[in-house]
Amino acid sequence: MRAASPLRPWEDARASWALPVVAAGVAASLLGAAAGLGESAQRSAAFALGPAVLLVTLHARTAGYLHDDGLAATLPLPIPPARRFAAAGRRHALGLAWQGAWAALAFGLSGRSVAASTILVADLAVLVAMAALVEPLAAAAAAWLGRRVPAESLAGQLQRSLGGGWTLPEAVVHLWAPAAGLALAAALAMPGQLAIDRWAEGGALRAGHLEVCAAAVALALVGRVLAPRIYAGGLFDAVPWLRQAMRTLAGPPVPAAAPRWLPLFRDPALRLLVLQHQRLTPVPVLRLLMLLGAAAFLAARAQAPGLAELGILVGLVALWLVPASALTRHAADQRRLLGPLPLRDARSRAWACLLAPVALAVAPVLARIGGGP
Amino acid sequence: MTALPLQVRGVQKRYAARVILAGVDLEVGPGELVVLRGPNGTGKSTLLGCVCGQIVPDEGTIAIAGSDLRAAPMEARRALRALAQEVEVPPGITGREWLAFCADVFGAPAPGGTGDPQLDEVLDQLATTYSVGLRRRLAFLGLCVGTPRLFVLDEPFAGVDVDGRRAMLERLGADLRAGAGALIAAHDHELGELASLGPRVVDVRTLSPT
Repeated sequence: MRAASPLRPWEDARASWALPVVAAGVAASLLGAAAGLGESAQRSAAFALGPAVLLVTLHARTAGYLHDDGLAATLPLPIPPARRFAAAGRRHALGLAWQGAWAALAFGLSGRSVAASTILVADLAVLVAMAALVEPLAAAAAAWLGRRVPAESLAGQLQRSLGGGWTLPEAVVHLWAPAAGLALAAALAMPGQLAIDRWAEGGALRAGHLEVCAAAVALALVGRVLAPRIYAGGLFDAVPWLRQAMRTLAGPPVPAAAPRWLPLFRDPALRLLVLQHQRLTPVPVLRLLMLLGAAAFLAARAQAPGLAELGILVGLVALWLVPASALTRHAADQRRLLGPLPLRDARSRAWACLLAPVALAVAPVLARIGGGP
Repeated sequence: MTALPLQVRGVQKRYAARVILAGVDLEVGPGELVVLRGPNGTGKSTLLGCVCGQIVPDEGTIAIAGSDLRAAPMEARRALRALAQEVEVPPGITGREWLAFCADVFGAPAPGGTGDPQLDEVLDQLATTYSVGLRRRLAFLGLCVGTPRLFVLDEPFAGVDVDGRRAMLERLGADLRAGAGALIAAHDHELGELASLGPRVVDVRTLSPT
């Protein structure tokens, strides 16, 4: 039996699936607005929106290279770095494909004509292909640069100065390397995208254009080939430093105070679940306000919501609901823990609390759609 | 000459301004069991983390079976068998598949069984359904495949019943007789059980000269 298979359960299958929908919805709305300014302006907007959309899930799809809990837990095992790199690469490819598919859908639906949509999607495809090649290189470079180097060396001075003193020097690289990788992918995609646009506008492609495109592709391919070796050179140092940075400097172990409204829930079991949800969900109030605010806007607007707006709403619903999966994953453990206590099962009431805002948001929007334009 | 299973030289570790380990020297010889003891927060887990490569020391070197942990990380890890304090088995994997995984990782043939009747009985069940003690025994047995040179075990007997502890000790004893070394973090009440293996007990606080 190959070891790659048992490693798979450690790969985080929860790679963000809701955010791509939201990002695609927002991109479709913005591209739709830009369409009114002409095809050229819309393509310019797509140039900027492509990297922005990919940036949204960058951490989720590249976390397998250096950030995952499973990676740290298995670090004492002699698993070759190449195998770890390949396992992380599968998650990266899956995440990028998912993000790319939604973005392609959004870009494709935004064009003023089939030809315009095709060009938008082709430009995006070039960017996604470059990201597929360059992002793993960025992770590998982060592993290499995340090692401890002599403090007096230029690299050591850079590590310290770039971090501003608020995280470990070895961990500083992780703040900028992933985004720099995406920026590099965008830069390398640009010759291809410009060539496509030139061709679409009826301009002739000269040998120089194709040479620049080929050079960009060659550069990305060389980086992708070298990436596993670079990764292997830094992995065993970078992961412990990153863990130390996250453990010691990621904030105090004392959580935020329980919400003042929490005692309104009289049932202790329900109160516990609500508190857990609050603690395990990043910015829960912001998520809730975004969902309700967007729903109110769509319901009150004179124009009936289109497909892109509904996509945003679905994404916001998912953003509100998905963090609850952190609780459902541990539901069996929690039942074992709470089972012997004199409590009523609060799961159905907890779900009702979670779904109530969704109903509150979706109902007026559906009513608005039913009411016609 | 056979390299020592573990050689720690001048290891220092600080968390911000707090010094946890200050110039720790420690050797574990072939067939030797070293038990680290000391109150909570005195650096036992930090030292074990350094030896396992999960924490990078600020200074000093660590060699496992003659391979420097930083300069030759794969060679060192091939000799190392580390059991964490909280054993996690990946979901969706049976005990037998876990042992096959370990065999693959350590380049050894997959064991047909464990020699532990209680574990053999459930070997084809999902490992996440095992009791805490069985999970720990399974994880330990997974580390015994191949040719271990150094065991690093963090409170290995927590949650393990008497029969399980006896089986683990027998297996560890066999590997020690074969030339492996072991570094174990344990509390005082566990020292009695380890006595049969003739351990050298070291208080972690004495390792950092003041």
